[in-house]
Amino acid sequence: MDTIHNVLFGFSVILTPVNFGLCFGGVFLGTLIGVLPGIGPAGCIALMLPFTFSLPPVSAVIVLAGIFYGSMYGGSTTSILVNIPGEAASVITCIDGYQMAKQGRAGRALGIAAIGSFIAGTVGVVLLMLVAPPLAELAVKFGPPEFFALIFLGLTMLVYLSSGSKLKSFTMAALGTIIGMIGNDVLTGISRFTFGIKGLYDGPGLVPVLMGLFGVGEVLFNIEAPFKRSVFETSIRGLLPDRRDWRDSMKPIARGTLLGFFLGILPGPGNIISTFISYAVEKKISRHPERFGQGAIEGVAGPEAANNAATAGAFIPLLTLGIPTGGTMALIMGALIIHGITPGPLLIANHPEVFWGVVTSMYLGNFILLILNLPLVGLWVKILKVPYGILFPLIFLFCIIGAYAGNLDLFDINVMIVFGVIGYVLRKTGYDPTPLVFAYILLPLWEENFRQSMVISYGDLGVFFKNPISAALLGAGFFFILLNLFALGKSKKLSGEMGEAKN
Amino acid sequence: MSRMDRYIGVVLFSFGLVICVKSFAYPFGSLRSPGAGFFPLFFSFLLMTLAMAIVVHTFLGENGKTTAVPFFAEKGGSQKVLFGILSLLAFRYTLPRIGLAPTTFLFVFFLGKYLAHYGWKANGALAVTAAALSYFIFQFLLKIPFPTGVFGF
Amino acid sequence: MNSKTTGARIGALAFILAILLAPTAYSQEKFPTKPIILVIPWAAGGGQDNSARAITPQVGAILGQPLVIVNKPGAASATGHISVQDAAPDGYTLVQTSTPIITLQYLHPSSGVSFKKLEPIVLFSYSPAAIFVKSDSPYNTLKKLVDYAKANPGKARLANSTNGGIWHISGMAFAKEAGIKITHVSTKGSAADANMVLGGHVEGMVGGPGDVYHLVKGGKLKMIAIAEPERSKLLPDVPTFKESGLNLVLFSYYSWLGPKGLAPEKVRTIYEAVKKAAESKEYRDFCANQAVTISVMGPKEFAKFLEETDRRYKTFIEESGIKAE
Repeated sequence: MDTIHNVLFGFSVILTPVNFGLCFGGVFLGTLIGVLPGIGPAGCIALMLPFTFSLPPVSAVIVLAGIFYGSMYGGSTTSILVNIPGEAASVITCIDGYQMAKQGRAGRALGIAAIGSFIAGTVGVVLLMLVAPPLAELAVKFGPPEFFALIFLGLTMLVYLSSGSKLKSFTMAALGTIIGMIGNDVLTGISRFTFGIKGLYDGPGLVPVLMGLFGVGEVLFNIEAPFKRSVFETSIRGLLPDRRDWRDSMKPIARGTLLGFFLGILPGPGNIISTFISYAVEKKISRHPERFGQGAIEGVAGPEAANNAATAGAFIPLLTLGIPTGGTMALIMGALIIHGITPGPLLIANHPEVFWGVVTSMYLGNFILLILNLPLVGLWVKILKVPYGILFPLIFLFCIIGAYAGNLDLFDINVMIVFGVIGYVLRKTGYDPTPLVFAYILLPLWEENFRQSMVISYGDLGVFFKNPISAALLGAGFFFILLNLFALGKSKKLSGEMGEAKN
Repeated sequence: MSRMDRYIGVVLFSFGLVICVKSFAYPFGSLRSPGAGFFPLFFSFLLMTLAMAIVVHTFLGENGKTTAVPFFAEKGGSQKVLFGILSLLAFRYTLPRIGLAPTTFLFVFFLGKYLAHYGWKANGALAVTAAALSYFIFQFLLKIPFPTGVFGF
Repeated sequence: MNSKTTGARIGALAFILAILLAPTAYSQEKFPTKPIILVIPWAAGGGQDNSARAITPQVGAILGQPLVIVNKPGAASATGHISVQDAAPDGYTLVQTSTPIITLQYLHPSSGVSFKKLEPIVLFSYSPAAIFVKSDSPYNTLKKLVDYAKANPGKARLANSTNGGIWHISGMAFAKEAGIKITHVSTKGSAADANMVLGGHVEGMVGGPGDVYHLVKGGKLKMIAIAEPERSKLLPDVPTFKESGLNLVLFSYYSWLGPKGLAPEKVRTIYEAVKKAAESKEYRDFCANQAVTISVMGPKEFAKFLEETDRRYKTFIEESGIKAE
């Protein structure tokens, strides 16, 4: 019953007019950021940081945290409407979300994304409250071998994500891997494949690549044809999810929440990886996997729940150990440090108002976001009716600014343009850019963890099998590979028989 | 598989080759300390193999016949795409010289005029709105620092 | 009118003009008259950024003009440094930085970043290198770690946050001084290092107290040695390397530099302001919280320090074979 006391205490902290207003402001700004493709929460938080200095520490974190999880709500909007991910965690939502929009079901997709995000976010906060410290202890057990195994598992499941020719998909993945290796090598400091171009020292960057491949590439593809042809199905069938959508989405949301929460606790891009795995799991479990890629609502519900739960999970290592899981959390940590509060194991004891204030603000924030986003669905859907001739320059504009805003480097716009041309060519020739993006994000991490594992195991390849967690994950991965080969063999046999029957 | 796939395969193969050659400049390392060249070498090989497989496939499928789908199906399509790309480049190089709002204005105006074929007035209105919006949202609300160019904003 | 009167009139006029113009001439010397931009070549939220935000309000108050912090991350911090190297040496663009102005010369020669292209102004605090182990580690003193390393060459693993960076160099210096063979593991940042130590994947990490001090205070990590000439007042329980016979003084620092050619008077003005600000209560509180040591070096001393560390680190990087691009 301690917890209830603490929660009430937390509410007493945040239900002041100032903090309430800041919470609202934060999530509103976050939603805006999420909707604008490319400009991510990290950039916005960095820009807002100076304005929080005059605020008391709790208020500062409430605003910044609100921006963070607020952006996860908004991120799915552009993914669904125009096939441009709001940030990396929304790439997966593009796959089925955009298809749903094309079929006139944009409202349902947006609605399920909002509601799923609310459920996941709230459950995530509850879990955060109840099991934070012990989970943090578990999280540090994840070292390079465990990450290697986790990413391996993710890769084996990603085979499910590619549509069309497997040969082409694997080629895209290989290409994405190589592009991902451009830039600074973490382990040796060598800059690989930069050919002396300063702007590539840290790699092409995730946002410019996404803006180029998905945003610019898609627009270039669409403008080739006369504008009279409408890109979207204009008759909107139903603005909000109906009973059937609910039935289909409930379990994916539940699964996505758990997946996202636990993966969000781990250091690294837990929210991105959780969306991948959620999608792959849903596709695998589904009785009609062929629907995925054609507008299956599970493909939106699961991943969107996952990335929201992951943001809640990401706060655990920060608030209990003082270890940020990534750049955005590091910024929030910086905000606390500037206010003289160093998050760490003593935070809950020394500054309970910060911990409980932030936790309860997340309840409130999620609630505000639901109320904010659901009515907006109608507005967003109307945007689809805007003639493409007016829409596409704006899409271009947002992509350019999104690409620029990350590092404030004009060179990133060049990167975006290059990948825009690549994205255009890929679409024209029937190559799916999605495996390229997955490989781009995951393979460099895989490499880094493999090499770090080798260093800390003194060159022993068995390290992956000696640690129980990594062994289990690797085992699951190999199991999936076997399953795939089995299924492949079966279908070949079937088509072989069919072939004979034909003749 | 079409003739385009053949070209794509060749382009990808060449890219893979360049990377492969460059990978040798980085230390391969050992199992104890895998170097920076290890993974790139492996994956560039993989890319080259897969690209080669695609090219080979275009010869094998359907008795070597390849569908000759014209790249630019619509008349004037290529000009439009080129215009789009050039306008993006123009934006990027104009931005540091005259700032965000003026660049946005020009960008939206010319795109609307030449690609969407709207009239002068409609385009002008649209461009002004877009410029004002981008100033308001990005520079005022989000306070993203943009190069300010000659007009000072 | 005769020439004498005209001469006297001209003389008087000249005298009056001189008096009138003198204050103007003086005010043209007065600096600063508009806000000063402080470039930080890393993203917001990092150690340099936090320290800058802790001290700039005080400096601004002393100088009478605010300091505006601009984060310019990218290209392994080269972008931010170059932007200041290329800026006009009028004192209105400065950079806050640390060892990269030396190490980037060797790790990324094509970046063009070098301390030789910058004008040293002031070094106002530093974070000495320290070795951290898990609090329940069997190697919870420096001697135990060194003994273990001597008995098992190459088996002791120390994490650091940037290959070729100051903590990596410190780790290598430690190994060299102690005559042991250590396996160094570079990661993406101090958070990743801390994770590895807490999870038992490595024996310890090399880093600045500031980055992981909260874990020390919280009892999860233990600092077994610090590279200071004498025990730090902030951390009196931590023995120095010197006490174990290892002569190691290495640190990451917080310093301001301007574009080369910055006028000495302006350098002086800024230096004096920062020196005073470093003694302010706000900055001292920040440093106490982050286990950062306040110590001020003026322009000449700082320049000498840079030359000296450049020589030292150059040999280190060459000897250890850290390859540049």
